[in-house]
Amino acid sequence: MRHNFHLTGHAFRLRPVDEQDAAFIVALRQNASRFLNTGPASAADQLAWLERYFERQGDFYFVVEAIRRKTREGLISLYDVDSRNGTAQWGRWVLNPGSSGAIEAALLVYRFAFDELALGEVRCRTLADNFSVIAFHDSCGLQRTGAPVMIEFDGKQRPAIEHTLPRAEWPHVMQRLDRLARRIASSIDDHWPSAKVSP
Amino acid sequence: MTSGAESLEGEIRDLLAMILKLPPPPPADFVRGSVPQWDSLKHMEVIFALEDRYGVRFDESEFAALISPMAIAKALHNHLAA
Repeated sequence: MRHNFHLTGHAFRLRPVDEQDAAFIVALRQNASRFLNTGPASAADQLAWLERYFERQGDFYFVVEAIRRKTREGLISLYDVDSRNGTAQWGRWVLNPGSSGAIEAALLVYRFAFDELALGEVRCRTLADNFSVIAFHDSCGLQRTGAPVMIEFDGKQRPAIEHTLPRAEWPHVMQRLDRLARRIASSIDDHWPSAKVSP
Repeated sequence: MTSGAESLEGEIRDLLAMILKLPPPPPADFVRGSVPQWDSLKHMEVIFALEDRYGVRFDESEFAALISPMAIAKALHNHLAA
């Protein structure tokens, strides 16, 4: 849906996806891991997809930007937002190879869900053979629901692992992610050209 | 590989095994893509643990290349020798 939420972290920020991002989305997703739906293959098809997305309620799609570099480095979404039950799912999480924005993007999408939308629970569903993302959610401290889950992937149903983060656990996860995000930002700052002192 | 980097490699392997909770003994060499628990969060924990232990600061552009005990040992050795 069209929204106007901007979230600023230590080194990265989230801003709403807009039409100007169509080619960026295609390029990023076409070169992404095999665990992400490839999606539209051209900017024109992506624009058509975005037009449908802009009309879809409860779907918040963001571009991940590096604050200092002022570059687009990834995408992330919170969708299936159910205000009545206070739940949502996050995903469409993809970063440029070499970007260190993955952790802060996850942190910011959780902040959006819990602090801006005041949701009670966020879940994420990951293809069962996407071991590194499953491990990421485990490392964050999320619980696996254990329920058998299938998700649609490039038109086929495939088994997935579902993790959930209830609001009560959010402060612990936030602390863990924020500590790393601060340190990543400090690392970027330390090596930023203006930080280097000339002799 | 230089002997300096070689001597670091064992220490790094032990550090990785501890952070990634690998069952002992850790393999002689391994790469990030073959260890599921070496996810992007653990990767940053590994990098910051190395920085704290050895008193170095990696550039963000180096993060993605630190994918095995050998690769880390080489990068670390270069920092320590600089």
